[in-house]
Parts: sequence; structure tokens; C-alpha cells
Amino acid sequence: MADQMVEVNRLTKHFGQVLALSDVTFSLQNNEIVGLLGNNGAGKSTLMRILTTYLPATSGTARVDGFDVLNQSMEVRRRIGYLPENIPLYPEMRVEEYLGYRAQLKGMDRSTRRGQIDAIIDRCRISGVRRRLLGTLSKGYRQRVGLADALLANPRLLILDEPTDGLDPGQKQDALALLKDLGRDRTILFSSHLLVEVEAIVDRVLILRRGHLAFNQRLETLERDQILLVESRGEPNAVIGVLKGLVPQHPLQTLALEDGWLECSVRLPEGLDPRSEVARALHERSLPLRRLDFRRRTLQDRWNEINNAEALPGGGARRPAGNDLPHAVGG
Amino acid sequence: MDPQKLVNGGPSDLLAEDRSLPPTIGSCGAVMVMVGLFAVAMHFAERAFPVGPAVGLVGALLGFLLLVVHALLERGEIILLSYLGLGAVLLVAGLVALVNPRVPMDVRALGTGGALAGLALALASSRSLGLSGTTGRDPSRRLAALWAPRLIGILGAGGALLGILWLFALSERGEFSHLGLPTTLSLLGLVAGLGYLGLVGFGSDTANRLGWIACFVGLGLALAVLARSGLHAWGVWKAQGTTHFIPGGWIILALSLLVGLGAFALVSDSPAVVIFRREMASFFLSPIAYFVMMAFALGTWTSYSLFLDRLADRQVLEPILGNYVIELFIVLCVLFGVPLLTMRLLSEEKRSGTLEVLLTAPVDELSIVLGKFFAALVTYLIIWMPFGLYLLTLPVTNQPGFDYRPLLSYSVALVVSGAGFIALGLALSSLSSNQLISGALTLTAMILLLAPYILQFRQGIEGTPWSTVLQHVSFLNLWESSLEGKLVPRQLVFHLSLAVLSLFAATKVLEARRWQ
Repeated sequence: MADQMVEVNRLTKHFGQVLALSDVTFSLQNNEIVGLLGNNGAGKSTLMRILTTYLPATSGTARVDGFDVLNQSMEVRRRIGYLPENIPLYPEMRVEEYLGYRAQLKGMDRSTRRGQIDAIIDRCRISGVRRRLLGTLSKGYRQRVGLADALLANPRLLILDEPTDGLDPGQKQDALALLKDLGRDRTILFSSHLLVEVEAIVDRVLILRRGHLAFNQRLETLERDQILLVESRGEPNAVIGVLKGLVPQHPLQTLALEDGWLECSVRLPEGLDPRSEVARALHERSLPLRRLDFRRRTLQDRWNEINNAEALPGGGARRPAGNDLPHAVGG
Repeated sequence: MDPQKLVNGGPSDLLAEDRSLPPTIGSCGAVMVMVGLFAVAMHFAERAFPVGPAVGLVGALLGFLLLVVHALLERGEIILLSYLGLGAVLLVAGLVALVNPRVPMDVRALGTGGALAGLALALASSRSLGLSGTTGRDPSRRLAALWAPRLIGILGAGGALLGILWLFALSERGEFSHLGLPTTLSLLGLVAGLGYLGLVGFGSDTANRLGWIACFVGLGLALAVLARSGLHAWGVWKAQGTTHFIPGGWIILALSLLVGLGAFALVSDSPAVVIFRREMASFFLSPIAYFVMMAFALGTWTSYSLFLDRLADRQVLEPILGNYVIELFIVLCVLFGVPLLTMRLLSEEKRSGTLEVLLTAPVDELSIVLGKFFAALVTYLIIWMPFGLYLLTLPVTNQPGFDYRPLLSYSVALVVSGAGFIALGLALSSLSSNQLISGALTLTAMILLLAPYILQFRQGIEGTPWSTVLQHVSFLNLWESSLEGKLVPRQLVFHLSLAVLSLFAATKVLEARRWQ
């Protein structure tokens, strides 16, 4: 067993002239739940297909549990469970027939196969539909059957491409709870468009942007950061000048609100609290102050920073006053 | 159905409860059986009836097949018990007809079909009775459920072994006029054995152990008959007849391979065999196999009618089967049937995305290709069944007996040429995710394979070396030679090469995604 479940080193993938992945490097630990985020076309599915040995990389290496995905693909396939984005199933087969078929393909031992399938059916809560035709199942049940298939042969790494896509809110909650439970004894890499669901269960977040790995951090380190929010009115440069004078080393972003006020957000490390100095400085310059508080830096903040990095260098955009940041990003 | 599901359930709940398909299949089967048997009865009573005895008999046999399918799908106890009783009666009546020397030969042939159909019906309904759980309520039924499979298994294995040993003995003595009874006994034994495995559950440890025993016994017998025939042919150990292999040895070889390979296909967990089993189930759970079989039955019936007319009009010298097989309608059925069978093999998997799931399991591309190839080839051979059934009905139509030995060589030609067609269709299916495109490509390829037979007679080609080349590649020339009792190696080589090359190409197309 390798020290790290997944090791990706300078992975690059071209489809003709199109660059799908560029110089991606990261590693996943054992028993880690990792969320893979990115807009459509960022390279999430391509990365997953390379890790599952379905596609080769143009350059770079990837290893799963110490085995190279290109040269030792059979060993890799024996150690992974994969759920593609559209949950492809054979509509004419019944649920338990399909799982029995997949169990045989994965080389599960005949003597224990039946018991293991029954246990997985119970764990994924599809006992009530085990005799149903796959073509008659709802999206939620199809997802659970696909997940049950991925769990066959007890893989050490689960790779799930948008497992909650298309599910209703209740089904999403059930799916996330199941993933959290599964993550206790295996590594899970799953992709999603929704930051809230990723934040709810993951240990680490990877964000792809146009094929590049723009972010790779454990969630707990992200949550130690905090953001100082200041809403003031007046000459923008004056407000910015006050904040840059007090906390010069820290990234500052501004947003012009529709009611004419200016929102400034400064990323500060845990423990640093300059609120009283900010209030005094603004008062001395006769700059009105409407809001002065902290909030935790969220994944949404990081996402916005990454996606706005080229479009808005220095910040500034019109948006309604007092609203939270957008809940869902990407499409 | 739970009324609450109608109120609270979605479409999938309603669909899941739809039980109209099995009774529909059973009704169609019952109608075909009744009309068919009535037609045969009218023929024996020398009364006119719109449906001829041959068509009636084939219709009745196909109708029994539908009744067996209904018995496998049905869950109603009364219907299943009725089927069980009917099957038992047919089995006993058929066996009595077979062993009674005073029964005419044509009725004995009917007895063979009746016994097989009856046994299949009884076993199918027994399996469904076990699944429906109704046997659990009654102590006598529980006892029957426990001992019936064992009895069937013992009788089946014993009957099959007895039949094959009997065939061996007849071949040693050079007696070939009474091969029908031991062959029938062997077939009954095989059906019974298969039924036993179905009753205990194909996935059970018992079925697995017995399946492996049957596999080794079958393949061992096949090797034994080849060795024995070889020793006779080389003069080392001669049997009493002039030949050991034809036809007795050939029949034993076919039955042994059926047992050995059939058991292997049922119990092996090799990826290619697992995929083979899934594909076979998929063929017969979708309408395609039945449509193609129905088309074959109709096309073959047309050829058969013309064949009977020729037999009646003029003296046809042996071998006569060429007049039946080399006919426009049968060729058209093959031309269109092969694309219909092969077009979805890989195209549908690509379109639906199941190929990605398949190729990320520990399964190599060659196993996928071989599993699908053999499933399609076996389905193709099963679809030729009406062709054989029509020949069985020749005695019923008051035709004189015919030399059946060319059928032995023709069956080899059928398998070899079929392997080439199916492999080619599979390779073309790997090129597109659109079934229609794959089907069109395969149809074009089939027409190109037919072209050599037509072109070899054209002015300017006939009599030239090109004509010889075209004869070697034409599948109709292969069929013609085999129906004359000849198996010409150079004709077989082309089709075998086509099969191997096509399978290689299909494998490489699947692997090509790893070269991008």
C-alpha cells in the first residue's frame, strides 16, 4: 500500500489543439474526501478519466496506490470504483442482476460475492428496488445503483463525477451523508458544481480553471482565514487608502454597491483584529461607516478570487447592497 | 398492485408493476400451438386446411417456445401448475411414441419434439413455482420442491450419458439406422440437466461444481471421439463399420461440445464468458432476436415451399438440400439479419456510456470483443433454428427421406461463414456510436461479400484466375460445396481469416482511445 493514494505529477492532456489539462500536480492521502471543483470545461472529467485509466495523458504521470495508470492499468482498475457523470446503466437488466454482473467482472470471489452484494445493497438503500428494471428507476435510485456498483470489490479509491447532479435537495442530502460515511475507510474524489455541498463533507478542495490547478488546500486551513468587511461612503481612494495604511500586507478587494456605498473586504489571518483602528481612522477622515465586522473566509470567496482573477483585477462590480455572495457558481 | 402506489407512486412504480407481457407471450404461444397442431391433425385426417402441416408443425414448436418463456416469467400458481401438468403429459407421451416400435416413423419424429417441449415446459414452470414461493406453504409441495430437482438432475445426467454411450456403441458396430433414439435421449438429458441447474440456481455452489464436472466430461468426450475416429481412420483400431466419425462420431462430438462448452459458458467467471452471458440475455430480453428469428422463419418457409414444389415436380438427385438453402429468401435473411444482430453490439455501449464503465473495470478489450462476438454468433446460429425445424417436418409432408449427411458439413460451413459475418459486423459497430450507421456499414459489407458469387459468372471473368479467386471468397460457394458433402479448406480459410482480422480490428479500435 502506497503512502499516498493518488500522486499526480505535471499531468497534461491535449485533445488536438485543445489543452484540457496543463501541468497539474497534486496528491491525495489515504482516507481523504476530496472535492474537485471547476466550471464546465475546466478539465474535471478529463482528470478523472485519466485516473481511471480510460484516457491516457499527453505527458506527466499519475499513480493510484503506487501503480501507474498507463503502464499498470489493470492494477489501478482493481483498486478503484468509478461513477461517470451520466450514470450509464443497462436498462433491460434488473438491479441485482446488474450488480451481480459487475461483481463478476471485477473478479469478486464467488463464495463471498452474494453476501457482499447484499451488504452493499443495504448500505446504498436500494433493497426496495433490487428486482426492478434499471430502465424504470428514478434519477436518485440510478445514482445509488451506480454508487453501489462503484463500491463493489471494496475499492480503496472512489472517483465520482458529479454524483449529486440532477438530484432533488432531499436526495442530495442523502447522497452527501452516504459519501461522508463511505469516506471513513477509503479515499473519495468527487466533482461538483455546488460549493456548499463540497464544503459540507470534504477534507481537501481542488479547483481547476481552464485546465490548470488553481487551488489545492485542506478546508481546515482555509477556514482559519477571516475576512474583514467594511462598508463606507465617500471617495473610494480615501477609504482604500485608510485600509491599506492599517493592513498593508493583506489582499484587499472592493465592490461598489448600488446604493453608492463601497464594500471593502480584507483577508486577514486568524487573531488579527484591526476593527477599532479602522473605525477611528475612518472617523478622523469623516468617512461614514455602515458596517464593520468579520466573517469566515469561505470556499465561495476563494472561488470568486480564482474566477475573477483576470476579469476583475483589483475588484469592482455592481451588485445589490446587503446581499450574500452568490450561492452557486458555474454552470 | 398496492393502491397506495397508484396514488403516491411515480411512473417507475407503475411500470414496475406492469405484468401484461407474460400473458401476452403465453396467449400468442397457445394460439400458435393450437393452430399448428390442428393443421397437422387435418393433414393426417386428409382434410383441407389453410395452414399446411409443415408450417403448422413449425408454428406449434415455436409456440411451445413462447409457452416456455411465459412459464419462466409467470408468477400465477394456477397457470404454472397447468403448465407443469401439460409438460409432464407431453414428456410421457413423447417418450412412449419414441420407444414404441409400432409407432410410424413420422409420429416418432413428432414424439421427439413433444418430449423435448414437454420437458422444457415442466422445468420452466417448476422453476417459477419455486421463485413464487407458493411451494413453501404445503408440506407435500415442499417435499416435491426438494426432491424434484434432484430426480430431474439424476435422470437427466443418466439419460444423457446413456444416450452418448449408446451412440458410441452404434458407431463401433457401424449401425447408423437407429441414431434417432439415442440422440433424442441425449438431448432430453441435456435439457433435464440444464433444468436442474436452473432449479437449484445457476449462481449456487452446487450448480457451479456440477457445471465444471459437466464441462470436463463434455470436453473429455469430445477429445475421446476425435481420438477414436482418428484411430479408426488410421487403421490402428478399426470399428466394424467403414467409418466411425460420420455420422455417429460427429453427433457425439456435437453433443459433447454442446455439454462441455455450454457448461463452461454457464459456470466460468472469466470476463469474456461473463460478458457472453450478459449479451445473450440482452439479445433475448430485447425484441431484436425475435424479430430476426421471425423474419428467418418466414424467409425459410418461402424457400422451403419452393423446395417442396421442386421435389414434387421433378426428380431431384441427392444431395437435395442445395435446392433448399441456396435460395434468394434465405440469402436476403442473412444479408439483413446480420446487420440487425451486430449493429448495437458496440455502438449502443458507446452511445449510452456503458463502454466507459466497462473499460474502467479490470477487463481487457479482447475479452469484451470475444464475449460479444460469441454471443452474437450463438444467437445467429439459434436464429437458423426454423431452417432445421422445417427439415424435420419433411416426413409429415409425405416426402421421401433424404440424405442428411450433407447437413453435417453444412453446419460447419454455417458456423465458419457466420463467424466471418458476425466478426465483421462487430468491427463495423465499433466505428460509430450510431446504430444506424453501423447497420448500414454492415449491410454494405454483406452485399460486397455476396458480390463474388454473382461476379464469377460474368463474361470476361468466368474461366479466368479471377473466377477462382472469387469462388474462394464467396460464402455461397462455400455453402454449395458443403451441401454436396465437401468441406474445402481454401474456402474455409477466407472466412476464418475474415473473422480473425475483424476481431483484431475491433480490439484495436477499442484500444485506440489509449493512443490519443
